[in-house]
Amino acid sequence: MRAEEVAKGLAAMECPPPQTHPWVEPAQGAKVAVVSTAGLCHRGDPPFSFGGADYRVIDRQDARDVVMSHISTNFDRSGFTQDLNVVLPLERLDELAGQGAIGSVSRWHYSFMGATDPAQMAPAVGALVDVMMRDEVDVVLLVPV
Amino acid sequence: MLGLVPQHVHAMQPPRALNVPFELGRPLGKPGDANYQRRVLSAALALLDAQSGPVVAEFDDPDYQLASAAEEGWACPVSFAQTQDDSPAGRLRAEVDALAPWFHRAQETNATATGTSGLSIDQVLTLLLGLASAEPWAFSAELAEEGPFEDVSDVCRALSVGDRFKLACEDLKMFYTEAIAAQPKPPSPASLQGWFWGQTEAGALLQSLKTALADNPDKLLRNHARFTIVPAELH
Repeated sequence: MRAEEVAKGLAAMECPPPQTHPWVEPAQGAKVAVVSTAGLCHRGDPPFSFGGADYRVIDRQDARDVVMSHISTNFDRSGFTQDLNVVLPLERLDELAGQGAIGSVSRWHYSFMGATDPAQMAPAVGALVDVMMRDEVDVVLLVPV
Repeated sequence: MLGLVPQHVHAMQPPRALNVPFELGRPLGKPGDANYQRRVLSAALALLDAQSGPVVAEFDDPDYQLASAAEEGWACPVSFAQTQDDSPAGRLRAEVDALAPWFHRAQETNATATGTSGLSIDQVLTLLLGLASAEPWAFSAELAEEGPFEDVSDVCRALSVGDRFKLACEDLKMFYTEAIAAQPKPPSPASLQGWFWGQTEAGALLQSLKTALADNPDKLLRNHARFTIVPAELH
């Protein structure tokens, strides 16, 4: 199946109706966490496989050993090999927090593997929302790959 | 959120989205360019100032497109020397040897993303060449038992044969990618893809495995070989 056909199929998937007035937090005081779909994990964590609908936790204090185990072969990995921030911009968020552009950066960030049917990921997403609320995260930056 | 595929963002209508014009795999745009990455992030976070939504904005940067296009003339970065062993396996090992100095350089400057399979690069070659041999069924069965490797990590030991194969393929690709990306003026993603799949023995080996493993009794191994090793445009 060609990449264009995959993209077309994904675009045709049914999505929940959008909220026209979503609750948002001004960036200046917000605590920010990143959710990636790049199949990232720490070295030694179980890698993602076909149908992986769970997530991995990325510890900001130990992000140098982050590896990628996304099953798709249809995106560039050379940028990631040069600079983790091109996929998971934790150092950039730290800098923005230092400048006062955001309030703070969570210690904990998360990665799913975007090749799985989103409906299968829903239970893990729901559980993760609870985790981030307990972590007092105000803004979630979703970063696809 | 950042959006790499505008039609997906349009379908999802997330509360705040910034469509970016970058290649898949590079949502922040430019590796190693902190100022540029901050510009992208700041543009996305500024959308939080809107009082209602959904809001979908565009990060327009015509210069970025020009920069990518300008790299397309990138030539093959490595001239692999003739080897005494001119078999595909001999040429593959010679390629890896030729790239090793750059791979080691990459390890010194960046955290390596290789090793997700838990195998060394030599073990990766042994595994993939075994599966490409005349008796891939016997080799995959051996992998499912004790396996041909005495010294493997706990990560590797816990993996199924299919996942070990998939991650070994990714480790090989990542070895080449990291080695080339460590060289001065690394190429664009498209050029790198074209080189790997069109001009290297490693790319040829991975493409051959789709056929070699088409009838393998291990379903996951077979499906990985068919769907997740070679880019869709080469199928």
